[in-house]
Amino acid sequence: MMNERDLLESDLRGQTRVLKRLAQGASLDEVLHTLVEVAEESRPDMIGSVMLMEAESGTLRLAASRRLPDFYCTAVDRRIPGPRCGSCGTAAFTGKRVVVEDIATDPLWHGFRDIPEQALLRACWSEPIIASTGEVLGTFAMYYSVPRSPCASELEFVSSIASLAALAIERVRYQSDVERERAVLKTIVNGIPDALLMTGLDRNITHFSRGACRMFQYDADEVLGKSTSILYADRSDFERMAEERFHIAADERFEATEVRWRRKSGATFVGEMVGKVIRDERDQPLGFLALIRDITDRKRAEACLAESRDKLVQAERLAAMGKMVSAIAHESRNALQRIQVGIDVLEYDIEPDSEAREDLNRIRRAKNDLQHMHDELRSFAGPIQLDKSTASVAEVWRQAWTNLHVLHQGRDVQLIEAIDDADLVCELDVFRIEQVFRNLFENSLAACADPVRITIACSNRNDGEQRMLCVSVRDNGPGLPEELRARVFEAFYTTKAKGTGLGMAIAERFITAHRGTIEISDHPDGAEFLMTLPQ
Amino acid sequence: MKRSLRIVIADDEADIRQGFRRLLCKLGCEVVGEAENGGDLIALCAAELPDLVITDVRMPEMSGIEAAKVIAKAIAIPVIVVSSYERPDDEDCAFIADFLLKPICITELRAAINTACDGAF
Repeated sequence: MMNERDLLESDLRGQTRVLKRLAQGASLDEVLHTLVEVAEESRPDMIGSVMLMEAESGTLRLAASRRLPDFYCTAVDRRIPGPRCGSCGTAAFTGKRVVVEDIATDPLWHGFRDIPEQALLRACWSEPIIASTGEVLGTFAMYYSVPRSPCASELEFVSSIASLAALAIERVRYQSDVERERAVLKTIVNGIPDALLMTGLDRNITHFSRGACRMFQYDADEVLGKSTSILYADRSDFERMAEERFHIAADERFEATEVRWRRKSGATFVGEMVGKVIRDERDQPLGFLALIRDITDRKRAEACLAESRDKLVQAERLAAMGKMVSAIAHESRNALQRIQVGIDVLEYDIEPDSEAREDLNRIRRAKNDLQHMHDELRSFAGPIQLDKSTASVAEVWRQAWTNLHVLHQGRDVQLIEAIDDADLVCELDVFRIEQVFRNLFENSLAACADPVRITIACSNRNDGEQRMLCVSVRDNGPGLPEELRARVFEAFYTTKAKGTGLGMAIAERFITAHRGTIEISDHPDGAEFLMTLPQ
Repeated sequence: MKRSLRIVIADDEADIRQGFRRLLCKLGCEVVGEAENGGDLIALCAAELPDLVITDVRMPEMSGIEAAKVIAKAIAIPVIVVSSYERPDDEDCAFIADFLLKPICITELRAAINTACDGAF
């Protein structure tokens, strides 16, 4: 038998063993078994056990015991605590220590004494295991084979063992809560398609989520420890974010900021970022967190929407213009006819080479300009009903070229045909396709200095089952400036000092009406337009 | 030149009628009547039996095309239509010698007359 001092030392060693197991991350089951083990080693005539409250069922479950017989364990497992329910059931119910000196006579064991009797158990002291919140977590019981009452040191022992058990249970439960939370967080972090980055206060990357790896095309190992500046497309944005978001005094902000980012490949994209300061429980800043969403698709969709809206507005404008042009067509043509007849009649009466004849010619030119503008407006905004016939496109462009004779008369101009053996026959509205070529030739003649070389090249291709004629019209001029390239088919946009700015818009309209296409090529020299026409 | 062509013109605008009359005279033609609607045009043609009719389309009471249709059933007179509207697609215009879109100049007018009257100039 150990003396008081030895016992105290043994208890302390035992408690240290339990705490060590706890610190090692042992499971609750292992920790509680160690607890029973050290208790029984310290008091060899005692049989210890730990029962835990199961919240779901409201019953006491036997969690650890080394020397209680199996039949006894089975019998006491899943008991519902009550005011007179043996030692442990009563202690769990009342939350107070229960000391039963003799099971054979104590009223708390009334009705189920035969089982402890069979297990040769006579005394049972039970201490409730109470959490820091006051919740009863379970009980620690000390059994003896003879009737007996505890001395003060034994009461102290049972109390300290119960406290240790409470500590272990709370700690393990906390640990498992933390692990569950961590698992949930990990699932969220890895599951979201957005990029989640964490950095230290120096803005060097400490966490790079799977979404971030996908978005930026880096493996996490490649960026961990590196500055987030490698992810920014523009250095100025990195610096701006330092001022706006990533400094320790930054306010809590939830609105997203659009930033241009750079992938490993060098490609850039627009991403929306939410960023904040990570702080510990004492509000001390630890680092920064950023959530980045790639909004390329959204931007594209917005651009498409804006384009559709613009097209709709354009279509409505066209319809209104079409109505207006139709409405004034009759009266303006009659007015032009009155001028024309007047000019033709006066031409008989006015002497050639006279000043009056020059005046008349000026009136004629003004009338022609007015008529040309009128015809352009009609071509652009009026209804199109194609009058198709089978024709060679070469004949059409040659006619257009011939009709522009006045424009290239006296200049060094040449129309070069590079047809090879292409099939040039199409079903087309000759008048309208001629106008397309006319507009292209007019632009080239206006843009190019002599010698002007306009080259037409043709080829055939199949778009699915549709055979297409591809026609390229290229000149040797200065080419189209970047601004014009983007807007060349836009109505009323012109770089010329004079003109309606409708020529290329009309060309596109006529080609589209033929189910063909017209676009500017990327040819580095001169201007080149590529057309396709179905055959 | 052969005998002067006898022409009837129809347009609801007096300025245009006058202009065409003077112009046709310059071309050596004789304007034997002017109408300002389709009904008058039919009557004039019946009375004058001209060599050629030059008419607008949209006029009060009866259009130039309707009038030309009636005239074509009774007398074989070539009709040149001068309109400020495009040639109608759905109209049977076999009885029309030529369809010109305003504004027309003297060259176009002369060519159309020449075709309609089989080498009048």
